[in-house]
Parts: sequence; C-alpha cells; structure tokens
Amino acid sequence: MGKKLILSVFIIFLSLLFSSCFDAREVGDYAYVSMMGIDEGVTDKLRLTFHIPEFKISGSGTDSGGGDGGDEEEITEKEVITLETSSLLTGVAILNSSIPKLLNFMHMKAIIVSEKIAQSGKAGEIVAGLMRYRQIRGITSVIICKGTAQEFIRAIKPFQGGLITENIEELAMRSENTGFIPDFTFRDMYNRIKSPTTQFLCNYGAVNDGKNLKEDGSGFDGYKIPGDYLAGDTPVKGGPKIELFGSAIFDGDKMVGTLTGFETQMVRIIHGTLKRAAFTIQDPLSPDKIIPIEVKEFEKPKIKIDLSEYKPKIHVEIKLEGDITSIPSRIHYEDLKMNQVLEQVFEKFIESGIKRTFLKAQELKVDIFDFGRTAIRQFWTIPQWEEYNWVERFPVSEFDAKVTFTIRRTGKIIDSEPIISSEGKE
Amino acid sequence: MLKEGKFGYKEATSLIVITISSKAFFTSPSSVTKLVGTAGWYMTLISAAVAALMFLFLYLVLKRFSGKNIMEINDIVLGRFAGSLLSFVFCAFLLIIASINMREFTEILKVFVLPESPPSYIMAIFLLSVVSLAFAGLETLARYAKLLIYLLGAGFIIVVLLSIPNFRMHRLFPILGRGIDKTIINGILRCSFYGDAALLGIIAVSLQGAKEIKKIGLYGIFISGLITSLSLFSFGMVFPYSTAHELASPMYAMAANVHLGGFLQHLEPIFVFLWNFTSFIEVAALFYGALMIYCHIFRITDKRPVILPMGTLLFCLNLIPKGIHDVFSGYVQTIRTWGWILYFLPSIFVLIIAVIRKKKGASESG
Repeated sequence: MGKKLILSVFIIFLSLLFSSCFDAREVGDYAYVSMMGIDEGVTDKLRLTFHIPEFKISGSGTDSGGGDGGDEEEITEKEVITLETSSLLTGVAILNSSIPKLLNFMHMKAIIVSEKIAQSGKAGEIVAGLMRYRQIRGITSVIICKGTAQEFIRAIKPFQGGLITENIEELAMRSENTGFIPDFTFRDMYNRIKSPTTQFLCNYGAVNDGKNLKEDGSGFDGYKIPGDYLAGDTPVKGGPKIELFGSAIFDGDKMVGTLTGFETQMVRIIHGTLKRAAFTIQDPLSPDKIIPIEVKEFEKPKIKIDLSEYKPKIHVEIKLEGDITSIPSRIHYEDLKMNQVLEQVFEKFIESGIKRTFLKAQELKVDIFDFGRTAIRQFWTIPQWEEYNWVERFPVSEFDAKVTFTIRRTGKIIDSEPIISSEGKE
Repeated sequence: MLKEGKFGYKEATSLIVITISSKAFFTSPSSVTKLVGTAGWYMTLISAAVAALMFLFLYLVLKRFSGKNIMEINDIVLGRFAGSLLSFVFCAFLLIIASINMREFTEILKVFVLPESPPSYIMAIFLLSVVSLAFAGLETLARYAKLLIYLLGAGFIIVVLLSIPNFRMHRLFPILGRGIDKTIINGILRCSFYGDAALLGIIAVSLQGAKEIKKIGLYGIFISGLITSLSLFSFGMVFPYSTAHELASPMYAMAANVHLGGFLQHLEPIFVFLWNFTSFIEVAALFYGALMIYCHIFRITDKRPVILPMGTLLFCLNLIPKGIHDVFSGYVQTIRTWGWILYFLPSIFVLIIAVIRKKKGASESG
C-alpha cells in the first residue's frame, strides 16, 4: 500500500515536470514576422524592416494582414516596423523591448534585400548570419528589390482580401507557370553562393507605380518580345503595387546584373523547370501581327559538354510542344505545311533568346544555366573538379543550342475562313 | 552477477540497430562529408563491412566460451585482476560514449528546438528517463526498442520520401568524393560508428547462444549500414558537398527543407520525435552496458544501488565539454575515428590470449 502511495505521488510529481517544456510559449505570445527587409543603414550598419501582420478574428477564423478594408496607410504603419541596428539579433532584442510580444521568424515567407546591398557584395555576410539563425527557414523566398526594401515592404498590400503571407507564397509558386522569375529559396542562395558548380539567380522585385502604362503617344510601334523587361518597368497599372519580374544575377555573393522576365524564361527552359509558359511571336507572313503560343516542355533538356579542350563546348537540345491560342492574321497556319513554318520560326525565336541570354551570362562570367551540374559528372574526384575550375572556364566556353518545337493543337478552331464585309472577302 | 531476463533476436537486433543508427541523425553526416565529400553514402558501407569483420572476432570469443559474457571471458582468459581491469576500461569507455552522445543530443536540441532551456535541465529530464529504464532492466529496454523500431523506421522513411522533390542527382558527383584512398582509409577507421555492436558481448547471457549473437550482430550492422547509407545518400542529394559539412544536424535540416505546397511543410517535429527516442534508447543501452560491467567487476548482484550514482556520474561527464564545438569536433570525432580500438580490439586480444593459453569454455549445444 505504502509503495503504491509513494509511486502515485511520484507520478503526480513527474506529470508536473512534463506538463510543458522549458521553452513553452503560447501562439499569442509571439509576433510572427512575415517579411523582413534589409537595407543599408544610415546611422547604423543595417536598416531592417519587419512586416508583422496583425492577427484578428474575422468571422469564424483568424485573419491577418490587414484584409478588413480599413485604412491601408494606418494598417501599414501598425504592421511595418523599421529600425537601424548592427545585427538581426540586436534588432530583434530592441523590438522585443518595445512590443509586448516576442518576434518570431518561423513563418517568415520572404527576405527582401535592397539592390544596393546586393551589389555591394554584402549579401554573403548577411546570408551567412541569417542561416545560423534558428528560426529562419531554408524554404523562405529571397527577393532583390529595386529601391529600398523598406519601400517595397510598405507597398505590399493584401490582394482581393487574401493574406499577405499567402500572396507572397502564391507569387513564388506561380513562377513555374510563367517562368518570369526563378524559383530559388534562401537555402539555395546559401548553397549556390558557396558552390564551385552552380551560381545564384534571385527573384527581382520592384514597386510599380503604374507610370509605365503610357496614356498617350504615337501608338504601337512594332513587335516587342513579351516579358522582356524588369520588375518596375512592366506596363501595368492598378492591382498590387509590387511585382516580381526577372532575376538578379549573382557572382558569388555579389549581384552583378539582371535578367529580364524573358531571359529568365530562357534560363528556366534550360534548367528544365518551366512547366508551361505563354510566348508571343511575330507572325512570319504578316509582321504587323502576332501569334500567341502556349508552350510546354516535351522532354527534359539534353545537355552535352565536351571538356576535352581548354574551352568547354556546350551543346543543348531542347524539345518543346505547344498550342496556338490565336491567329490574328487568319493565315491558315492550321495546315500541316504552314504549321511547320510556324514551328521553325518559334524554334529560331527560342534559340536566339537562349543565345542572347547565354552571351549575357558569359559577359558577366556567371553560369546561370547550371551547366556545371552536367560538367561535374565527368570528374571522378572533388579535387579534380575544383582544379578544373568551372567558374573560370565557363566564360570562354562555346555554346550551341538546338530547339525542336511541335505544334500539337490550334485551340478550338481548326481552320480559318476569311472575314466577309461589304468590301468583299478579306 | 546480475540476473537478466532472456529476449529474442528481434529485440536485440532492434536495440543494436537503434543504438548504432541514431548517430546518423546528429553531426556524423556532416563530418563524413567533410572527410570524403560525396562518397559518404558508400564509405559508411565500407565501415559497416569492416565492423562486421571485427565483430566476428567477438563472436569467435563468445563461441569459444559459450554461455558466458565478455566480462566473464576476460576474467577466465586474463585472470581476475587483468580481466577486471580490461572490463573496467570498457565500462569507462561506454560511460564516456553515453555522456558524449547525450551531450551531442542536448546541444542539438538546444540549437534547434529548446534554445531557452538550460542544458542541465534537458540533461536532467533525459537522465531521469534513462535511469527509469535502467531500473526496469535490460529486457524492458530491448522490448521497448523492438516496439519503437517500427515507428522510428516509418518516421525515417517519411522524412526521406518527402525529401525526394529536393533530391538533385548531380550532387552525388564527383562520385569518388575526395578520392578513393581517403574514402577507404576513413571507411576503415570509422568502423567505430558501428562499434555499439560490441554491446552484444555484454548482454550475451540474455541471448540464445553464440550463433544467435552472430546473427544479431551481423544483421544489426547490416541494417544500420543500410539506414546510415540511405540517410547519407538522401542528405547528399539535398545538400551540395560545398555546404553540407557546415550543418549541425543535416537530417533535421533535410526535414525542415520539405516544402510540398502550402500545407505540407514544417515537418521537423517528425524528426524531433526520431531524435528523442533513438537517442534515449542509445544512451540507455550504453548506460546499461556500463552498469552491467561495473556490477560484474565488483560482484554486485543488485544493480539498484549503483544506478543513481552512475547516473550522477553520467550527468557530471556531460558537463565536461565546453560547448557545441568541443563536442562535435573534439570528442565525437575522436570516438568515431579511434573508438574501434576499445570497441573491437579487446576481443581480438582476448581471443589470441585464449588460443595461446589454450583457455576454452563449454562447447555450445545445438
């Protein structure tokens, strides 16, 4: 009896010990940072901007991100906090002393780094610091922004009542169906800036104030490659103020250039990560008209690299397929022979796009196409590979791309009849 | 001598597999990557093969003295004093390994999960569980290991399967890593990774004879080799060799990297579960091994008075390392590289002496 009593008391005592861990905190004890911006400081080393969405009850669920239609500026003032500090940890400590909750980065969706910091080569220093930080996750998106990260974060507003965190995640995930931005994460950034095999391409973002949408002018002045611009330059007005478009090229931890949305698509075609994308080419028989084509990858790209000479010879074979979505010229491209004409034009279009992007990468001495991944397979040991020095060889490499494109379908229309008017048949 | 219950080979194999494989969840994969680069996944198979070979010497000793454990055999072959001295060295070694593994667990847990908890708090709670299990006995520990191995196996497979979208084949190249010579040398030296199979010598009396011990040891090493190789293989495909060796817990980082849409992410808790239970069984097995040897040396028939003092000693040993770097690059590395000297060499030495001195036990029946 006595033993049982002692055991019972002991178990009750143990249950007190195991009721929670030492670090236990309730969800409400934390302020969850959804985005963090990093700019160069004016009075201290860094200017950090935190977006901390307010959690509030909306209907039966919990909402965040100021999606209640209230005064947006007031919400931004409440949710976006900027401070200057020497390090993230100190910044967090300062904020923790002024807000009644503990900052938590476990659910952070994006790290925004200003272009100025990225170009100064300080990104590596910052990234290495952040990677050690326990709460920051490798799957967080990284965005290099035109202007300051502070302005960028302040410009982010929830779209159509959604959550800001959701918006950012959706934007990043959408990339595989547009190809205008790369799909690398914070962990990729860390791995790639230290890699002798691959280099880093980062999402490029900017605040678009809508001024690129010209209200007057001389009108359409000929075909332009769609998507061939950077974030902040797209002719868009209305909707979200921020946009992700194109990519920032890194040589090690230093941003050395940018790729437009179109060029980023070319890189993704070679990476084999472009699931589906819309392209628009000039109509070969009616140059003032265009033909939009929805393109899909048919096979993974085949990359061959000949390393027998000093200059690596890179050969890429790409197989794409697609559907014509519109033929404004009403030329009978549905016909098998005409079909082939269009296929050849599209093949040349992609080939020239890839070559143009390759030349840009070569000029910047950065293997943004990850050809190093193929080259490394030809080496038996790491010392051999590192001695070969791919990063040094890539800029002198010779490149050749062969694109094969097959038109599968022509939309709901399989034949085009001319328009008939009082002036007769077109 | 302690009286322990008997248990089957499934229980014993589970115990050995968990005790060995748990090391793959901590800093070992990073160290292996630093040593041999991309060749880690097959280097560990070399280690397993060497460990299996070394284990066969232990089996030969146990076969020669059927029905005896290694401490009794040491006494018979080397004499009471020298035999006890050798057993005592092994006892101290097991206790040190248990303390280092426990400290490694504490440090990793503190870095990733419980940053605010004092290390002594984590250690005390952990030690409480180990001590409780030691009171329950070896049979309970073995049966508990068998019960958990299915859950732990499922957790491990889930983490690996969910990481498949992050696998990149090119990260396994150059296939020979830092060179075949380094892979073979490190593979041989790091057979200590599988040294916990030597625990079978201590618990031999609880098992069904030398043949079964051989089966348990070889299966245990084989299964642990596959698990460790698979974890190194998958980790090698998720992280490039240039940064993989920087990670404090690569398998945890691998689980944290899982991102399958908006809902299937933040899967580290599965891994924390794996961590906790495997470490708990590993440390408990080593602690119990040390306890059994100690009780044998000093002819103590009741283990209970020894458990708490030995637990206190384990706690104190835990406090010796200065910090995480001291544990990882100092103690853990030394034991992984040179541990085989104490894990395997004594049984070879005892076998040679037994042959020279023509010492032999009763032959095994059946």
